[in-house]
Amino acid sequence: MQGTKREGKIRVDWRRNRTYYFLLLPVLLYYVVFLYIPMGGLAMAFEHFSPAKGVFGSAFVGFANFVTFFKSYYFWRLIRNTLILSALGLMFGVLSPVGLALLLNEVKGRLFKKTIQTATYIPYFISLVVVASLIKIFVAPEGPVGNLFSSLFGLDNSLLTYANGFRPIMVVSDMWQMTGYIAVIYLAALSGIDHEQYEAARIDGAGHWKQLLHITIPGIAPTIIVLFILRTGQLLNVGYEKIILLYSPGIYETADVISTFVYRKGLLEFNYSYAAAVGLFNAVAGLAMVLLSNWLAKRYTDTRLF
Amino acid sequence: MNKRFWSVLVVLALALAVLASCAAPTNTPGPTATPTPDISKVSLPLADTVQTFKAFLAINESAQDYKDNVVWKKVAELTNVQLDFTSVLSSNYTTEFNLMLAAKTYPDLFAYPSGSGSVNYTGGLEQAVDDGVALDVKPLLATDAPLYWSLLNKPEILRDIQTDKGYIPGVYQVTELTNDKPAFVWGMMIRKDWLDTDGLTMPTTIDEWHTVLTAFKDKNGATFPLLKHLGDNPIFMQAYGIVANPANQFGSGVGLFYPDTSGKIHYGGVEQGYADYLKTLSAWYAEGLYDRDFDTRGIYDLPGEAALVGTGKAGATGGYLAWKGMFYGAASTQTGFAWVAAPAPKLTATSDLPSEQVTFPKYVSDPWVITKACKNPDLLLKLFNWMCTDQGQLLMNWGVEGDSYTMVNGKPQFTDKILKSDKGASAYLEIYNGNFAPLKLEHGPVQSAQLIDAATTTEQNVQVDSVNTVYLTWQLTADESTQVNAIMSDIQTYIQEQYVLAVKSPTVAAGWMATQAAQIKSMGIDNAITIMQTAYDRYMAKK
Repeated sequence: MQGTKREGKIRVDWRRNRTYYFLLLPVLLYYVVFLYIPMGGLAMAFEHFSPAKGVFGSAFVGFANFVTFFKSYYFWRLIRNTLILSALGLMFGVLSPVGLALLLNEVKGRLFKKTIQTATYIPYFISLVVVASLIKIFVAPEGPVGNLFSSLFGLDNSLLTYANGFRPIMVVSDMWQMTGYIAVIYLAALSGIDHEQYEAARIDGAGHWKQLLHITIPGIAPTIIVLFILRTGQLLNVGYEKIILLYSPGIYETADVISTFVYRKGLLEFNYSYAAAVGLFNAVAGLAMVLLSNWLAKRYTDTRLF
Repeated sequence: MNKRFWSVLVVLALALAVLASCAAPTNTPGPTATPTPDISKVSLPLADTVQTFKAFLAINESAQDYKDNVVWKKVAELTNVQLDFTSVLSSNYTTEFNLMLAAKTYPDLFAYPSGSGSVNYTGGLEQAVDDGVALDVKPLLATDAPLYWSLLNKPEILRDIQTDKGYIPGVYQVTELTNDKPAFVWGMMIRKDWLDTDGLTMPTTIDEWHTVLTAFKDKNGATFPLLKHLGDNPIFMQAYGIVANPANQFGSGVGLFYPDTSGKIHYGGVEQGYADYLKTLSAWYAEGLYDRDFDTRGIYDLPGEAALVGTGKAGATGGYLAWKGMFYGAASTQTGFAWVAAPAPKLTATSDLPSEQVTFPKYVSDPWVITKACKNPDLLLKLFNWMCTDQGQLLMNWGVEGDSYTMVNGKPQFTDKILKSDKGASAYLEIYNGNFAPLKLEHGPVQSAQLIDAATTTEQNVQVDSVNTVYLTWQLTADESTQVNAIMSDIQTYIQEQYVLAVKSPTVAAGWMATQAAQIKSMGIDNAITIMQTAYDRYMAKK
């Protein structure tokens, strides 16, 4: 009964929005050609892949590559590092833009607000390679940050050579680069909150703090949750390009994550099958996390992604 | 039969002519002593119409693109065999090569380099022949390339290029037969002017190096007295008997192992010598003698190292002497700057010469491989055969007469176009002639004498003579390499990391044998060594 009704709906929808569907076509094609078809290559995770024999000709080895990874001396360390780095990223990556947006929202001076907004927004446009070089210069013994630490704690090498220093550097530099950009999304959400609610609250005697707690935050909560769920999908996909630009063998203890491991095995050691297996594991675990966080969000709030 | 009779006659006539031209007494020794190949007459062009072949090659810089190459244009003109080149920068070659294999769009010919831009077909070229990628040219050589074959067909050459199953999987350039030592090796380079002002002599042992580096730090104000060696090469390790650097980031397979003089295979990471080396290095690091940024410095950061040396912050590093110019270029502010070759250090004055492993064959260079996709391999081989004639050798080695060389007293002599090139003579010659001649032979040393000044040659010999060069071209089978890769995967990550920690902490270095070496053993290094031993024994048994 319902099924036929929906079908009818689809037909109506198709007739009404045909032009839009045609507009959608290129995007769809993009996904099929560049994302779905290449997925066939994942087969190499179950093979002993040899470029000359190709995906169809290489020997099938089942889950051997996965077993090698699970048994690897570095399996738990990779999982730990990946999770810690992403959890930190998630926490600060969500909280700091919300904080900045709330603060900016309270600012009355228009010029001041715009200046701060622009200043925090600009780092987003700097290329990652440039950011990595900047970080290297800053934390070198002669750089401003490195200099501070060397005079305070007597650390006379680049901060990037200390395993303990890697996570803070990653988190702080991520905040510096991304906060202003993401804050814009929250600012948009903030401007969507009905002003009459604030007036009503003021009449009821709610102070600044109460207004924030009961109107502002609930008002942007859906946005926070959606962005949070989207970030969870990336949880195992920490920004590996940046890590590769910054790490060195001496700090693998904290810096080596699944994706950098995949990079080394696949692209430096040409161990394609093994790297594909580890990458596939990473992707599947990432998908599981999105589903989990979506389910949690659905269960405890009204907001969800799908 | 009749044809052969005539060709023999022609050979005799030519041999007489050669003898006659040599009759004038000259004092130059050497090259003429090599046996002259059976010179059969090759008539040009090789094909009636222009035949085109696709070639896929690695180049060191974009200027070297074979498409613009003067010599190869001339080759096409003379022989009607045209190569359609795809030149890939050696830094991208491995990736592009694998993509080419995966896409199965085989060219007719591809380069298989072992040095920079090295490619490693799993299982080696023998497997490539079995997989239907490469062509075994051996059955064709005698008929298609008799001249070339006459030189190749020597036990010492065949041992290096013939695979276990007896294939010859490509066209190799025969380089040296007269020279028993390599022209150059990786070596140490040092600030000679600092040595002089400090009143020190050239260091030859580890202890002398310690004295010298301390002086560099205290008297010359160097903050990085000894830099991490370019390319992570094991010059200092060799003094401790470790011939292959186990922590080399770009090393894999056979490059991480080495045989000792009795033919037993070793892995440095579990050797006492390596532990001793780390102990020394960590002590030097603590004293501020060893590169304090060694763990973050790029593996081939030549400009970075040159800048540190050129500004008086560093006093020594390891690398190729050919890079000397870079260091002088960066040293415009240093007065009296002198950057010279130093011998490889020995453990003590009475130690034997350290061994240095060279992973290319002794008498031939890396091959150009003809693929099974090639429709007419016979013609291609005939082309290479023609390059072995006198005319071909002159063109391929020296270029175009009147342009890149002239004949002086019957011997080729480079013109200023090559010698005075602002790219540097050797580099420009590569751009000009593409650096592939099936027979280099005596041309090699003669050219070097013209291209490289005597002082540089002397310096190169300082490095070459300070080591005992071991040529190794052993190869794993596809199965062996799968097994070794599986074992080495974790070990490589482990040792690269632990090596850094050991250099930074003398305690870690002191406990290496008990902790790290034991860990590497528990990760299965002995199994890898056994596999390597099998592969090595097979290589040595090959006749």
